Amino acid sequence: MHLPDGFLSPPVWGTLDALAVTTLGGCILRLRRNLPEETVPRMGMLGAFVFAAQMVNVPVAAGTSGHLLGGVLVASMVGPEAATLVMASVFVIQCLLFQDGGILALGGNIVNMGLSGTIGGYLLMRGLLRLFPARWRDGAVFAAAWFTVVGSSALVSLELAASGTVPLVPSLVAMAGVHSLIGLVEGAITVAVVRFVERVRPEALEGTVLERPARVAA
Amino acid sequence: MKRSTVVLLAAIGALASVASLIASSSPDGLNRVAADLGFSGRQATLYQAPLAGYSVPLVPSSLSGVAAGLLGTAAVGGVAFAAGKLLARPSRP
Repeated sequence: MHLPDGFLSPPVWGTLDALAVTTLGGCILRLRRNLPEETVPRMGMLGAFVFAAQMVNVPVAAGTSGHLLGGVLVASMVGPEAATLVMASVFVIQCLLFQDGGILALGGNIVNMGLSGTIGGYLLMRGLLRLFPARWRDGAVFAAAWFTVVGSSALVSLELAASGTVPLVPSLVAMAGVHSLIGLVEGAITVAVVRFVERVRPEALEGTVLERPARVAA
Repeated sequence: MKRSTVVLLAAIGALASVASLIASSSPDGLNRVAADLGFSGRQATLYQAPLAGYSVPLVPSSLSGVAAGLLGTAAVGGVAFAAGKLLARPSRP
């Protein structure tokens, strides 16, 4: 879902670049006060994983593919502020080194595929986890990941329409349609990685939204 | 280094090496919609990245994607780690 340059009009990419820079600035200010040192290696590890995983386009429907976004996954393990920084690192390297996503559209890509998950998807996941019993944790994680991908695709459609690139309705139908399938991949990978980390290194989930409350003796 | 760290790093390294080989070459959701709705042509190149298209110059084409995967994975891991390191408070004993 990386936007190249040319798809967005200057007011739209300008707004998105400003939004990305302000949000990153806000996250950096908050992290300066409360980023624990133990989280830092996890940030590197998750950034590396998301980059590698985003290279793997999975075929979803006739002649279309999609890849992981990863924002919900990263935010679930390091919190939304650190996750925003991790996801921004992914899109900056993709853009500057590999020409994946436009340079003026970089803020748009950070907002659409990063903040959508690290903030929007994270808040949804936290809400679902509070609302439903702990045994439904993986369902809540899957749902937040799915909604993030579909929401991101709707956001891209809105931006394309606001730019005068393509009318809203046909692009929204097409984008949300194909991304409702890609969202299933996102949900499955997110849950699988959470379970893998839980098995290999359970202490990594301590203190995160994913931590299962200790069993209370009945 | 803890054993679990080695396991996780090895898994990420393995994924980075095979990523380009197992990836589908079909257009992604946005590119597909851009082609179907006829706005692909608006794409503009304003900047030339050194490893554009996930290919590394001077590396044989069969290994170019593998090299790109490993380089990019290491670069992102390094940048995210460094950003965290600059901001983190040292933990008090």
